[in-house]
Amino acid sequence: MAAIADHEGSAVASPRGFFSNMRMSARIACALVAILLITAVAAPLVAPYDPNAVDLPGRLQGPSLAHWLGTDHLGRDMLSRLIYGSRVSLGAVAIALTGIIALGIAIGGTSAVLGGRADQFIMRCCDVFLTFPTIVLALFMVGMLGTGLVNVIIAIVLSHWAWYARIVRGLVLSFKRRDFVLAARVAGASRTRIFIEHLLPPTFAQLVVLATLDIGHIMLHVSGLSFLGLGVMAPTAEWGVMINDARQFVWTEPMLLFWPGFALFVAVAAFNLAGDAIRDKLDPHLAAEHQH
Amino acid sequence: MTPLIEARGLGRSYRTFSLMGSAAPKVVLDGIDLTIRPGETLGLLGRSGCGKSTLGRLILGLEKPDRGDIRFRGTALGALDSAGLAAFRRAVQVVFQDSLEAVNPRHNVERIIAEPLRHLTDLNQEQRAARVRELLLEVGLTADDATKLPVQMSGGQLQRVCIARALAPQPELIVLDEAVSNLDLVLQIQTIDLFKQIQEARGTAFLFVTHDLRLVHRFCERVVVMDGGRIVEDVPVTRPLHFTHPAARALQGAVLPARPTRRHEQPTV
Repeated sequence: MAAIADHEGSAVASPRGFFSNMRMSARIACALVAILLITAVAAPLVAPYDPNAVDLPGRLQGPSLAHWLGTDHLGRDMLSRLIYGSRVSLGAVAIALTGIIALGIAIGGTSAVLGGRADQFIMRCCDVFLTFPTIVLALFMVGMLGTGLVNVIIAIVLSHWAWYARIVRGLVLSFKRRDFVLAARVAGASRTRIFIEHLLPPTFAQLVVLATLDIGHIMLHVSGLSFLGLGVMAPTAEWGVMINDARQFVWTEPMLLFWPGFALFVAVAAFNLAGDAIRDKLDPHLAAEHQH
Repeated sequence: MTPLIEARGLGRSYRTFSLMGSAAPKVVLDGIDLTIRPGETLGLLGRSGCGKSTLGRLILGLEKPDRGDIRFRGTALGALDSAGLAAFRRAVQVVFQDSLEAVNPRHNVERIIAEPLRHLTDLNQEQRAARVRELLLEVGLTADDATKLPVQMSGGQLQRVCIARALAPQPELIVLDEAVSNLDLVLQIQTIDLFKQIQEARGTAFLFVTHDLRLVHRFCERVVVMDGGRIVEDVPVTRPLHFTHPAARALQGAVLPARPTRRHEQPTV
């Protein structure tokens, strides 16, 4: 019996065995994600300079011991700006994804629990949102709401919830027909109780995995809208804003463009790979495939 | 005596939709009349796909019939008020075939068994915990099992947890939906003996849904055979059983002998 328990434990989510049998690329990705999160949280301790301290005499310097990645057109330290920029990007992504998941669960869950005509109506509304590319929808929303980081986050939430609502509905419907939910109905649990106690936990577990795969995508959205001048405004350090700032120096100082772009690339790639790895770990079918 | 459950003219069909319009509805149940009296053990027999599980679900109130109605102590299920519905839920419980599938894998045994107690009784938390311990002992598990998770138990133990959950609100009828089919022969007999003990101690009625005729002999007083969504036999259990309908005879023929005799030589290559 103990052997069975141990085996089950390590196959699903034992923290000890979680990283030990992962592929190398996945381990590097998880390490990068950890570094990104730590530097973002501890930015004031890690960053060598104030990201907004202007030093016009020392502008457009190359890499040196004092400024590892050089300075930008206002003499601000690039490394400090990148580190502080990760705060804005990751923070915005975290808030946006929380909003998307909450809205997806609320709408998709209601749709699946109610069923019938209400379900049909909600799903047709979702379809309307799904027909537009998310970036077009987000641009439209920002156009209506006005620019600024908060509005960009709202726009991203409103342009992405439909995907999650669909997924939540599908998951809830698949769990709803399972015997343990029927048993709960026989045990006299109300629809709300069944949703909260039996349907939400497994749905949420799968959603979190999907959300990790979407972090990179949302991050590009935030930076993309900031690059277009709709989200975060200069002089706030944000990767999209930094790329936009560096645009005018693309021929003379290409490295100014390179660093924030590279940071974005590394972050998106790391989150995607880490998301893949976590999904493989938590999905028993895929985990079995990797063993063969 | 008022029947506990009375089904009259039950019909149920499923529709499938596709792009090319709706297909003809598939009739699963057709004109079913069935009565279950208090304390009775009724076998519901039939091959896979004959509609016996659907009938079980209708009797549990998990699905609604398209035609006819089911009465609980004389009142149609659709006409029950919330107090009546709670009384129906307390009175009619279920044990499913696949025990691992029938419990929430995230809940421990105590929470699983206490679920009907939470929703259908007004026991407080300590009383519920005490009742769960009693139930665990009654089905042959130990009080220590209360803190275990489903993955830490064997299939036979988990089926006992499901039986304890069904017993918790002191029901008058337990629907056993192929409840022993996933167990091996020894466990099947042990479980059926457990049901017999429960019946002697509490006078609970059982609706024993199965495709295995051998178990009917051991446990049931009356047997109903279904085929193609209709009831084709309704006879008391005698040894041997006297069936007239070909579908019922086919089930009799499907029972393998206890001591197999060699029918023909296997070809050797």
